[in-house]
Amino acid sequence: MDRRQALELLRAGPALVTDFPGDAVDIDGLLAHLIGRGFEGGVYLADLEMESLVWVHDGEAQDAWFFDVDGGEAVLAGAGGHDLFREMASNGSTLSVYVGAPPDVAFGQAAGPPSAAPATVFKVPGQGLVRSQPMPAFEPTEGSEVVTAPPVVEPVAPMSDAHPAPAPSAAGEQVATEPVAPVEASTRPWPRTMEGVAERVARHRGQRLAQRFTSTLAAALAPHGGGVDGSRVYAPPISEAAWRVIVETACEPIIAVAGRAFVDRAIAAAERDAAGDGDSGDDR
Amino acid sequence: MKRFRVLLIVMGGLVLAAVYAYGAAENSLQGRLARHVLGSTVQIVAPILAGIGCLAARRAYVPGDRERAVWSIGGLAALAWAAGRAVFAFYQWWGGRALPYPSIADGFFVVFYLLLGLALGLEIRLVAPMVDRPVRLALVGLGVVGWALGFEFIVSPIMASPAPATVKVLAAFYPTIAVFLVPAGLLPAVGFRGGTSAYTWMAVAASALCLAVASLGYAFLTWYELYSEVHTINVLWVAGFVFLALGGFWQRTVQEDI
Repeated sequence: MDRRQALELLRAGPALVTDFPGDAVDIDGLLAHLIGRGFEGGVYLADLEMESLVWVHDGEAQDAWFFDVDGGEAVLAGAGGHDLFREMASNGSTLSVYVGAPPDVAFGQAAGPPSAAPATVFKVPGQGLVRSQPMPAFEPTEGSEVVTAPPVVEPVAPMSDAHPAPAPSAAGEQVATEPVAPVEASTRPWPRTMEGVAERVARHRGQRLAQRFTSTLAAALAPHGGGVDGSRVYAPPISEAAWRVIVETACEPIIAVAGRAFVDRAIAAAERDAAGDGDSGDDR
Repeated sequence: MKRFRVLLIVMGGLVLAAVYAYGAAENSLQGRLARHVLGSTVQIVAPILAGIGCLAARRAYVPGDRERAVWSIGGLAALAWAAGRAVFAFYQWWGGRALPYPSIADGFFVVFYLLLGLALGLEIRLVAPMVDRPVRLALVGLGVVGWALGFEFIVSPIMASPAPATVKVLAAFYPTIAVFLVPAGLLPAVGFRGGTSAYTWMAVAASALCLAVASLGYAFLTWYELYSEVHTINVLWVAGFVFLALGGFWQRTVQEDI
């Protein structure tokens, strides 16, 4: 899977927010918030000339991916990539946040088969896209890594249109390209667990806090097509990463009052009960 | 829950000891001495137990949990009171004289009320959004009415007297803050109504009520020079800290018993 395909796969999944004005968002704050919540997915920017994606994975914001309209792409590692990402956000891009596990693409390295000639792409305010080799105006910061293809050959073929066979490595071995599994629905009994958490919150902290929890849970589930009906929680198949975001969001009112330890114990106890019921599916 | 039952028995024993110390009609020299020693001891032990109870509740949380700070501060408050009572007892037993009023012990008592007020204030910030505005106003009204009654009948004569400024300030401070701690303790109980945590805050409110009545009584009795170390009013101090201890231990129990 190349980066373009990984991006499209991500965008086909659930979104926390879509097409939000990028210049209204504190990118660093958003990334820090998502990281703090254990989020797994990507922050995506798009304007008329370029798309960009920063994966939030394993508790950190990964290198920024850039795609231009002509199919060129670049990975700008470290702070340099994030600088350009921020700059893009503040120049009229729309911002979306998608939930999903990243494909098995090595961050900061050439992942998947490179396109015919991916250029280092960057954007200079007021000048649109600039494709250059080496990068003339955007210098990566120390420690960051700019991944570029060999010298530019114009025109640049779109990534998704070109899938050459994996190049042999220096040792003559084939570079393995691992198949990427699509984002799978969680097998944990989250709806039942959430029902159990609501019941425990009501029993220990009263109905008011339980109501705050269920209403927040319903709001978090709504973009995924789920919701809360009375004491029953229902949801379509949702990935584990998305569930984690939902649970974290829904539990915020409880954490604010009763604390993280209480919530963790409540979830663990509710999950034990839910698993004991023998229903581990969340297709309800 | 079993541990909590054991604690209930311990608390019950403490209350019985206080009832004997402050209520028994034992007037022999030996009996009076025993009551005096017992009375002073339970006055120190009760707030220590309350401090332990609050700090036990604290252990049910992880760093960053806001209620952890509430119980930490509550525990320190109770221990500050215990320190004040220890100073009081030290002067009487080893110094051979009663502390004047006000004294260094009052510094600890003031710290107790300020810390307990801070702890309840932090809890109220967490719970207030879950309590309807009319209920919040009613609780504030309850505090104002209680304070007005206490001020009118007990504090105002002291204010009108030629007593030293520090006596007047303390005479106003103790009952005032103690009276307002009652609705402050009730508000979380209302917020958590229907849940087991509500009992925690009912115990804290009961504690505040005992301390408020004891404070008013203490101000009244000391002003008219009727207060003694074995006066029945002292049961209320012990009861106040027993309720606070119960609240802390109960919170620990329900917070972990999920």
